[in-house]
Amino acid sequence: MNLEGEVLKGHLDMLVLAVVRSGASHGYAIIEELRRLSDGVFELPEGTIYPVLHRLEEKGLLASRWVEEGRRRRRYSLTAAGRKALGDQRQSWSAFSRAVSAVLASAP
Amino acid sequence: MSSPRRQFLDRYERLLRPRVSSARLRRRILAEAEEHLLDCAETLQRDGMPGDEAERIAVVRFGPAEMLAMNWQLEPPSPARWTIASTLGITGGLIVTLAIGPALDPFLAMMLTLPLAGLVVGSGLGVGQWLSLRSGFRWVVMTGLAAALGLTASTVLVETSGLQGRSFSDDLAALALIGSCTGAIVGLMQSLSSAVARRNAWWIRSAAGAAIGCMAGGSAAMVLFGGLRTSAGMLLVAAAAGLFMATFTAPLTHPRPS
Repeated sequence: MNLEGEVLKGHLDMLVLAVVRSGASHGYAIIEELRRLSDGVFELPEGTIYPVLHRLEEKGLLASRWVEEGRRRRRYSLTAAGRKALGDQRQSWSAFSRAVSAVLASAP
Repeated sequence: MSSPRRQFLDRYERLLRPRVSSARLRRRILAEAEEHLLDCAETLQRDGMPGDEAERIAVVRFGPAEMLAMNWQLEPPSPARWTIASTLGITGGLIVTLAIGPALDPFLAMMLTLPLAGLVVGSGLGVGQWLSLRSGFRWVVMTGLAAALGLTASTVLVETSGLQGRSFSDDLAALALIGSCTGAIVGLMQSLSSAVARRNAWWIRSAAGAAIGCMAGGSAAMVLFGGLRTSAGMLLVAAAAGLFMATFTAPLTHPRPS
């Protein structure tokens, strides 16, 4: 099952922050981890992850630097502001998903 | 024949150029894309896929270059570069006009004051253009306002400095020459400050056309209202300048960021 692109786009920032928090640190690893953790539901053209990473870095939620690992790689990590933003978004999402579940559960 | 990865990166680079004006940022985007494609192809090869096929699949999974390039937001030129370019452009145009002074001998006294006026006009124009690109305000409105402010301020400056020797309101040919030199240099300087403009040769010609239009429209206003010393004449000159500048150059600019 593939989630509709627009729905996924709306939550991509939060998902990327969560995946970086879980340890993935460069673009390819981040998109692979997103696919693995979602059991293939979050399927995106892989190159679309980079504008998201750059945007999050511009917002100060991620930091990045080049590292040499046999080959040069751009590594991303969560900043303090990114950790806080992820925490806030988790709370909002929990409240939202509980509310949606409650409404859907009430339907016969 | 180049590899699918190289072909993709070359195409991606061409598509990014008009959207991402910073060469440094473009290099980073392309380096990350290449790193990603290599990672992906290596993973596929470890799973037993032949090298060529792995590279091709990695490119497919990365996504179409056209679609990916659209994800990068257009960048307006930096305010400092845009403003300085416009200011230097107008001032440079007036200096060149002075250099060919013999053809404009009766007007030299007037033009000695104009490099200073050009500095003010160009600053106003540059700030307005940047605000337009940056904020999404309509290009026409902002350019018109900037030209009005710049021309008004420069006229006040010229009048209060006491440097203006004579009126130049009655010579359309001289005004057209001033306009074409000024506009060409404004266009050149602006094209140097913008990756998009640099790729469009029409920019320079259009800016020159715009400036000629400004001058012709302005001179008509001066004939009607008795010159720059009247507020109605001044407003009409400013409005004509903004309108011509916007009409000629706006279609050449990249779409404003949303």
